[in-house]
Amino acid sequence: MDSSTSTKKNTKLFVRNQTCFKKSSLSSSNAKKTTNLSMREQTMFKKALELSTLCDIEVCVIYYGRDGKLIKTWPEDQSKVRDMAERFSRLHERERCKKRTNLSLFLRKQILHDKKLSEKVLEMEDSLESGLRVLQDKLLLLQPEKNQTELGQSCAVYSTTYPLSSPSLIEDHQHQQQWTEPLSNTE
Amino acid sequence: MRFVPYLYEIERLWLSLVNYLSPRKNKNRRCGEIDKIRMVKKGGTKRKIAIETIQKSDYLRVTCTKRREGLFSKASQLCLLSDAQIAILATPPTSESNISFYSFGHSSVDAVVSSFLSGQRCVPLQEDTKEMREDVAICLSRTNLGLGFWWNNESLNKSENPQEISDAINSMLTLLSNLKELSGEEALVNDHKDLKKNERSDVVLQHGTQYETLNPNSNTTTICCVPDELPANSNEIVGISPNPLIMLEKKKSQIEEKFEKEWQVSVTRIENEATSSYAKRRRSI
Repeated sequence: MDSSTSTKKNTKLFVRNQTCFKKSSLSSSNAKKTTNLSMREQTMFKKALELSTLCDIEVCVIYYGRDGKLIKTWPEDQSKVRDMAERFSRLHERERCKKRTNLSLFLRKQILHDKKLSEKVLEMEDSLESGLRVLQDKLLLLQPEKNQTELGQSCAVYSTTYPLSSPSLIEDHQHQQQWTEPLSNTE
Repeated sequence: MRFVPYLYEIERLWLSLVNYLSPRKNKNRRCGEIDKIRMVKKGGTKRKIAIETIQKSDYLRVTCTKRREGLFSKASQLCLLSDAQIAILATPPTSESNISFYSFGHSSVDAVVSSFLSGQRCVPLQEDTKEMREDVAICLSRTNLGLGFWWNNESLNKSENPQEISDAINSMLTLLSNLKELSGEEALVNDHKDLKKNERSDVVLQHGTQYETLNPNSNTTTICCVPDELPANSNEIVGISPNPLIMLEKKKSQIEEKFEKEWQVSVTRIENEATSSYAKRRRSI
C-alpha cells in the first residue's frame, strides 16, 4: 500500500510550475497527510490492474494533466486503449448514458452514505453564512466609495443605474427558486 | 516417619531423568512459543488476496462492484487535487449482457475520449468554474482532502472589485440553498430506514396478539418529525424564502400516506391468513 507517505507543505497558491497540488494556507496545519502525486497515480493504475485481473474484465484509463497534455494511459499500449475507446464511441447515446458517472454525481452519491454528513454540513453552513456577511458588508462599503469617485468624475448616470442592479439580482434569484418548485412538485 | 525423605528423593531423581531424556521436546516447545510471539508482533490477521481470476460468479460480481467503486474514488481524488481530466472505461463481467460499459469521467467521458481519439489536447479546465463552485458535494470532498473552502480564499477577501464580490455572493446563496436541499435528502433517507425498521417490528409483534386490537393510527405517530423552522434572523440575512421547509412537509405527508397504505395491505394479509388457518382446523375436526 502507500507505506511511504511524504508531506509537502506549500503555502503558495495556484503556482503552476512549482507545485501540482493547490493548498490553502489556512488549512495546511489541519490537512491530512497527502501522498505524492506520482504515488497517487501509481495507486490508481495499480487498482485498475487488480480489477482487470481479478474480475477478468477490460479496463482502460486515460489521464490528461491540468494543461491538457496526455500524461499516461493504462494499459500503456495505446492501441488497446484506442480500440476500447472506439468501441465506446460507436455505441448509441442511450447505452453510453446507462452506467456513466460524472465527478459531481459520484461524489454526491459517496457523500450521502457518509455517517458524519450532518456535522460537516453544519460546519459548511456556518462558514458560508459568516463569509456571506463579510462580503455583503464589504460590498456595501465599496458602493458609496464608487459613488463619490463617480460624482467627482461627473458620471452621474452610471452611479444611479449601478445600485439598482444588485437588488434585481436578488429578485432574479428568488424568481429562480419559485420556478424550481413546480418541477419538484411534479416529481 | 523414616520413609518420607526417601520418597522425596525418588521424586527428584525421576524429574531429573525426565528432563535429561527429553531435551528435544523442550526445545521444540520453546521454538513454538517464539514463533507465536513473532506472530503476535506482526499485528492483526489481515491477509491479501492473490491477484488471480475469481472462479465463483457471485464472488466475482461483488468484487467487481466494490473495486470499481474504489478505482473511481481514487480517480476522483486525483481530479480534485491536481485538476486532471481522467476517463475510465470498464466492461461488465460476462454475466451481465445488458450493460455495455461502466464509465467515469471528469470533465466528461465523451470529451476526454473524443480528444484522445483525435489525438489532440484536452481543453484545460478553468480553475473556478461556476458549476464547480456551486456544487455541495465537491466542496465537501475538497475539505476532506485538506483543501479549504473557496470563499475563505485570501485573494477573494482582499479584492475590491464589486463585480467579483457580487458574483461570489450569488454563488454562495445558491450553494446555501443546495446545501439545505441536500440535508433534506439525508433526512428522507434516515426516515425511510426508520420506517422499514418500524414495519418489521410491528409485523412481528402483531403475530402474537389478537387481530381485533389492530390500530394503524397509533403506529403512525412513530414517524420522525421534521426539524423546527429556522429563526427569522437567518431568513433575513440569507434572503431566501422558507420554501424548502414547505417541500419537506409535503414529502412528509406523502410518506405518511404510503405508510398507511402499506399498513392496510399487511392487515388484510394477516386477516386472510387467520381465516384460512381457522377453516383448515374446522375441516380437520
